[in-house]
Amino acid sequence: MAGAVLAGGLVLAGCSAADPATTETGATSDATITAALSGDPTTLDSGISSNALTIYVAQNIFEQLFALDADFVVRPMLADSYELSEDLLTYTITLRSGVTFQDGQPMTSADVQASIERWFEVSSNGITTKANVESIETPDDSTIVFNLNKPTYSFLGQLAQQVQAAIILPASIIEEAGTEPLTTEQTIGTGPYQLGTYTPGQNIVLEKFEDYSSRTEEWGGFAGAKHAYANSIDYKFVPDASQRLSGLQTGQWAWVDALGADDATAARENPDFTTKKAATGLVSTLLLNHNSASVFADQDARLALNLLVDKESIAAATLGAEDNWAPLTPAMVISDNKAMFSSVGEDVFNSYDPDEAKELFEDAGVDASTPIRILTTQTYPSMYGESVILQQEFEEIGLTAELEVYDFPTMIEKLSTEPTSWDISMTFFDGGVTAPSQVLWLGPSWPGEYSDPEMTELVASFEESTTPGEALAVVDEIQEKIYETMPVVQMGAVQGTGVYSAKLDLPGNFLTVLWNASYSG
Amino acid sequence: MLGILLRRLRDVVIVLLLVGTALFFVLHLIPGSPARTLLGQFATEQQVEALNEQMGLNEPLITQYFIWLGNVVRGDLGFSFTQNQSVSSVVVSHFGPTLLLAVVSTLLSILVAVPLAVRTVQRPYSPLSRFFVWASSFGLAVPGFWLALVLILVFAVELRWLPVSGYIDPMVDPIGSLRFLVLPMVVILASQVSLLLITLREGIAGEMLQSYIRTARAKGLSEDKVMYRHLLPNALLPAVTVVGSGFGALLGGILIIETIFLIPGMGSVLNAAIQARDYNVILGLTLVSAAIIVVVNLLVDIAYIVLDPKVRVQ
Repeated sequence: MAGAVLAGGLVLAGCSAADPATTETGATSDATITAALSGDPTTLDSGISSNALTIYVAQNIFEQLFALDADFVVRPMLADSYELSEDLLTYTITLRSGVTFQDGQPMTSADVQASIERWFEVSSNGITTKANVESIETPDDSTIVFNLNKPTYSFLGQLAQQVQAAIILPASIIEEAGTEPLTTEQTIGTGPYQLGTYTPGQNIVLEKFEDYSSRTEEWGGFAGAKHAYANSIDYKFVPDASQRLSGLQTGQWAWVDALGADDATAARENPDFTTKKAATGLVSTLLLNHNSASVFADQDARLALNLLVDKESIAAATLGAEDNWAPLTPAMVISDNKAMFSSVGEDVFNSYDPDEAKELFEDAGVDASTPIRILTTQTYPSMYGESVILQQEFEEIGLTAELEVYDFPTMIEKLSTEPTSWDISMTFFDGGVTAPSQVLWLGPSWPGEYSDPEMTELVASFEESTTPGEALAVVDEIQEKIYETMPVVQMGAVQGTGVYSAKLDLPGNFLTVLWNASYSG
Repeated sequence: MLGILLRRLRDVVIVLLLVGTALFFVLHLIPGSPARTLLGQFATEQQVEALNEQMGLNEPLITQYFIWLGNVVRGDLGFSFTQNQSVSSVVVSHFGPTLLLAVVSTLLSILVAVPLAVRTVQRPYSPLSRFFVWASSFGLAVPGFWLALVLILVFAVELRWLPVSGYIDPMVDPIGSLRFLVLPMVVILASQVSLLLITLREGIAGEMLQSYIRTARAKGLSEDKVMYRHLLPNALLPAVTVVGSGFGALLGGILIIETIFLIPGMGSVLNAAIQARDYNVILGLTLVSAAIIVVVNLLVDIAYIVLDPKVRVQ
């Protein structure tokens, strides 16, 4: 089953209809879109929780100063425009006028300041960004000024990021909630849908926010106009994967967040469904343990592992249909993400040589008496599949590997709390990031204890770029270093196939965005 | 009778104390903290620690235990962070569907299995009898979730006769709720009826050989009277025990049924709580289930007294 675990949002290509209540397909805005989520998000606070389920629902409710469009380019959302000073240290952002929160209060710069300050406390990206911000000023209600202490090329990108996002909340609510997760009463944003009811264990109903002030540009992605054609969105929690498919087939719901790869392939033939390749994707990554208790503290062992894995076969076996992942690239992002896409390191990435791997492992002092411990999970079948193949590959060159299988939350916990107990693990990272500082495993706090002062400097030097060309050049350098020193083994990016009801009109390829979708069932 | 009731009451208290304590400590041994699950996989260690602190999870375990125990004996089962309400109100609001499934399926299974068992023993070589004997082995062996998914595929997806999942409160709309209950009930009954059928057949077959049956027949009683008035009460005894001791397994099976069919009972809440590591809910629901099982066993004992005069004498 492929990682149809989409960590990103949807691309909305929206039609700019003159009559906002009727779409090109003729569907009217009375409809409710019923969607099936694979579980209960438990919280809608997407500023604090990095849970994908939380993001899918909350992105309808909250907005940020900036957002990524269909090409992963940063666009203003709640910001109207911005100016960057010559010395690259001052961002003066003018806010859009006429924006109100879902509780009726108008949005002012005070709300934005409070929200960003909260983001600085509760979000990993916020914490990273805070280090570069000297001060925040609000000269008037519709202007906010960020004074940086060093040039930060990724600044706007960080504000647009979706995981632990810089959501804009009313200052009064932030005063109440502080750094604790928002309660349902406090779930107030500026987005096109507001929280109607949240029945724990069952469903979340969002209702159209009548006073939503939409942008007009059709930028797609998570940016631009949000038409909110549907009157309401009903997210039901359906834990069983085959039940999600059954409900889709019988019309009980029109959208599901994740289906297995086999189901997606079968669904292509079914005229009741539309299948589309998702615009967002994830980079499959083998996490290596640099702790001295692990064999992978030795660079030779890491390079050997890269030579040992047959990336194409593993992708074919675990990631579903070929057009979801082919061709595999050495990049840290998906290929449509032009800002960060680089092919540097291609030769090393594509090398597959088990014999040489065996030699390199020997050089690193790895033999069959020290089993390689692979920490994995069955919660995401593709990860488990990967581990099994990996184990076989080790055995084929005369080494031993042990699988330690846990449920996903346990696996994550063990990575951090038992750093000497594993050698390899696997996970997927967001392929839509816009700065190396957003590539989580490159950072200091990710499990695996990878730390290289040169790499840290390179990642920091990205912030001194002034043009996309310069930025990309830094990405090239980072990638060169990755394929020289192999801190992790990147396995390639995968973009899942979304399956949804043919009666749902979902423009574009950002398949988790429902604010420009319409249902004619 | 009073003696039995008092002893049972004492048993409830002891069972709840043991179950609660054991589960409390075992739960905290399982990796995965509620804070980490709430924050998602991209959270940093500091964030997890901070939320752990807020949730009181950094206190020494024994302190947490006594706090919890102290609350429980005063009737406060704590607060559920996944359900956003007190555990007691979670129990009350989700009790209904599970009770409905458990009680109705138990009653139905008795109503179906008894005549069926009698029939298969009276006419062992008829095709119907042979079919039901085979089917009962199948029903016992087949896993509930598999049967559920197969039935859904056939009756809900292909034939569209029944809904795939969902639940309507029978108190609110008794007629409307029926279509949603058919498949879940069939799945539960498959194993329950099978188990009862097998147990009853053995009991009946055993009793048939007793001399009092010969006497009853010699007296000129009709076969039906022999069966239902004389034989069945004795044959029922082992079946009653089976129902009682199987109740725990029934509740466990219902959890899976509720998750698949999206029935908002205690089982689906418990499932979600386990995934999210909502300790208060897991503990609260387990205690409630343990209490129910003890009560059910009490009812079994009473049934024994009613059915078997020999027990009364003791």
